[in-house]
Amino acid sequence: MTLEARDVVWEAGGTRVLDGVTLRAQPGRVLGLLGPNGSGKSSLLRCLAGLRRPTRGAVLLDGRELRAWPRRAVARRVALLAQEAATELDLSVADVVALGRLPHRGPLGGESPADRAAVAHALALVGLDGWERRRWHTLSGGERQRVQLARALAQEPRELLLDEPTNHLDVRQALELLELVRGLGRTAVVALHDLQLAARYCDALAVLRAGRIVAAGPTAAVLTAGLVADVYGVACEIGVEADGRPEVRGLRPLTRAAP
Amino acid sequence: MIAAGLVALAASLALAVGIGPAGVPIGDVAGIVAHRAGLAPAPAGVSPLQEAIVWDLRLPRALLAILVGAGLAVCGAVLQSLTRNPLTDPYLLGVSSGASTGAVLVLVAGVGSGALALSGGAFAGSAVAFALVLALAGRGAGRGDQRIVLAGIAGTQLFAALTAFVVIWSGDAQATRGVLYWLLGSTAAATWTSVAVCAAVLGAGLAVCAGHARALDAFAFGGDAAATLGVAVARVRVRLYVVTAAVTAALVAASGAIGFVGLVIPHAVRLVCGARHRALLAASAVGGALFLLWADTIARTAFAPRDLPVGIVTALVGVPAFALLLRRGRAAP
Amino acid sequence: MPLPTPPRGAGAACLIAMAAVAAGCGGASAPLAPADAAPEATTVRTCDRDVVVAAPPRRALAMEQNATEILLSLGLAERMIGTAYQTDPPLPELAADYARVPVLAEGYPSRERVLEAEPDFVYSTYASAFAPDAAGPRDALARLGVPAYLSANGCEDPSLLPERVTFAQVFREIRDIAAIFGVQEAGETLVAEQEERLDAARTAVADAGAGETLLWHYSGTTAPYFAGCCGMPATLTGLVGARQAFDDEPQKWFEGSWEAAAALDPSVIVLADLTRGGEGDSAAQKRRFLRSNPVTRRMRAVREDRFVVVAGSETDPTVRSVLAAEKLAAGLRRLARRP
Repeated sequence: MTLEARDVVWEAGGTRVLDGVTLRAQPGRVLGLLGPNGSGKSSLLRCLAGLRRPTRGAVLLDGRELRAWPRRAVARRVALLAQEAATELDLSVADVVALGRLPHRGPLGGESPADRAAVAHALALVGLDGWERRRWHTLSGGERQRVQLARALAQEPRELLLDEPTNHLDVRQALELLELVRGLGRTAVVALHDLQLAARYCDALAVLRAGRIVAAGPTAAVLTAGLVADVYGVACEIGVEADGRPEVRGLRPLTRAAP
Repeated sequence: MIAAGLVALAASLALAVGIGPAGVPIGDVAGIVAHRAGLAPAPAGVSPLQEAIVWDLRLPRALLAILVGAGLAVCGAVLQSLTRNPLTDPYLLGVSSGASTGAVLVLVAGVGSGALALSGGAFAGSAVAFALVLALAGRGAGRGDQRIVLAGIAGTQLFAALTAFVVIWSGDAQATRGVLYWLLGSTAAATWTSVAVCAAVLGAGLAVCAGHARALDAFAFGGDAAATLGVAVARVRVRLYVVTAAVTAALVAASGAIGFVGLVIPHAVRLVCGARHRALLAASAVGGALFLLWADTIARTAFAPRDLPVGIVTALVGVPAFALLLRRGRAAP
Repeated sequence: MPLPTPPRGAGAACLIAMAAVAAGCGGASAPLAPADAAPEATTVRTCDRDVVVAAPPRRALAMEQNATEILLSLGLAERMIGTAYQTDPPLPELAADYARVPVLAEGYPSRERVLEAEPDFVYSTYASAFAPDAAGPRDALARLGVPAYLSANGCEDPSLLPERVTFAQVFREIRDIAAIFGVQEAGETLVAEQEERLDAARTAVADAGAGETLLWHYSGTTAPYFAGCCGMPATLTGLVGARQAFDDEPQKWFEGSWEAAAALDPSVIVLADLTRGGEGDSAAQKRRFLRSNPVTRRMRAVREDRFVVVAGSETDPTVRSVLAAEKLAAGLRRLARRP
């Protein structure tokens, strides 16, 4: 059992951002969230993380409504990596990653050796070993993204929610990050822009448009040229890789007149 | 490092109690304190007046300065973290403005009289102002960062205008000067009672804030980030607003609206100790206490027989000290 | 409504301008003329300028209590069209006259109110009466043909303030005003009466003041205001032959501490009784505080109840200051006669 959204409707500022979304993450699998800008991907992730309460419908974790879970228990299960993380404080990398240990610490608890080890381990996972003392403000966008991922990993979550985690990363870093996510073997829901990355690293896909799921299922089944043209308005060819995963080729703008 | 600060604080306290316009020899000072604390018999050759000066005037003032400095610094640190605004000070929620209105009503308009009137009036004013600010912020108080700041600004301005109105309406030149004195803050009215009250309020308040050190760390990247780390964001925010407002109101009622301490000490401490709240809160308390104790001692003795309001000294002395720290500290973002 | 400017007003304005340019020739008083002679122009120096009054004013406006009381004491009630900023009840002998003059405001009247009353002479003890939200600057009044007189102790320019406050200044002011209004005889009578009373006070106190140190406590409780040197309190202290606590403090009034006061151990505390109603204003409040505060109640003057009470307005250089001299003399004699 894991994270599940049932008929989630979410309204904000008078607009209906999510209009009856139902999806279920598969335990241990990577679920990709696709959709154009404004389709509601970030909002859906926030609802799944328990940050926003659905106007109607419910988010369930292990079959129980998220609302019924104690907050810290949720924080020990579900970690969210947001698109942007900004602070004015002069924090070190260790400070930031150590935030992920907060759900595990007692109310007066200080930092234990176990916490420090978890921080080091998380940094190693994202390829930033030994970066504990570096200052947050000296980091590039990509490095910050990886530190935040380390923070999320330091929470030792079983469910990982990632909102466009490859935005600031270069080609290699993006591939490495998604390799890492897939290799962790935990349930992951990843919002992605890049169709090729989605095709390569996601076991299943859910495609959003205007707050609704227009397609969901195993990647190979969902990712078709027709869907891409329909949802994104671009043309492409979908091939098959050696390992059976789909491959997106030849992305180009749709021309009005069919050749 | 906190331990070193506490030692410095104890030493400073001893020194502060020993200095003043009435030249009481240091040996006598120690003897008086020991005697009144029940540790030793009365020292010879010390008049009751000298004893009263040390035990009933200097010592309560010094202790009040310590309590107020610690309290304002901690409240400033907490509010800066909650609002993620480095310009926030403990008077964000209208507390000092409201207290000023209450105080001038007593000082100038003759509302109420007697020893408790000024403190009572100030505290009542704080309470009203804070209630108004919370009402203005509405349900957004717990949710968003900026609504409470805007509500605080509005409340502060309203009560500042009311204060000015009362002063202009009823004051003459001398009264206006007296009001200015209160507005700048002073420990001259310290008594053992006010020290005890402040100590109790501060103790309770500090305990609550310290208990939320973890939650305050979580706010580093905003309310949403804190929520994903398991913090009950809205509840924690409101709870801490109430606690800091109550502590600040009690301190302001005893000593007027001393500025600078709550705004700058947390930043100075962050430069030295980092941003983790377990250390930050404790270090802010010690740093604020040390700072205000010295500022008060200077205000009380440097221009004797004149007794300057300590709020003048905090900024005049504090700004150069802070500038030094900024230059030597870690590079700003 | 525009203020009608009679020809003499325009002439006065020109003369004022010329006098301002030729500033520096400032003698204080006018040539003496019999009280009932035909009106002639009077020039007096007030602070930084000479004021020329073409004829004795008939519509005088007094901006504070002292100005009011000097005018009333000179018997000029008929020639006043308004008073303002009265802080204490009028002196009993002036009460009837006071009731006959309209009170324009409890504090300072606004500029409109002042002009509406159409004064031909504005008299003030403090420069704040000529602030933009009160009567307005003296220049502006001069342009409208209204001469304005400011007491020597209230000059805006600190370099023009006399170093010490003396009774001579008060008398000079009385004489100036009397000359302006053409009632020099009444002026001399008033001055003579005040001098007589001062002499009587000196005689009465004899040497009861010698050896006493007076602490003048104006207002405030935990944050008290004391008198420093060179104000009326210093002059009064000298008059009774005593010493003044903090007589080396250059400010006339300053915020002090009880520790410093206790260190000086004054033998008498002079309490100013203010009717303002604020904290530490009334003498009763001050006494209560001094007796209950753990430090002040150990001061000799408080323990032995060595207080003298004067009214707050008497501690400024006013026509009432002579009352303070009398109270001080009486008080010190009373204390000296104690066993």
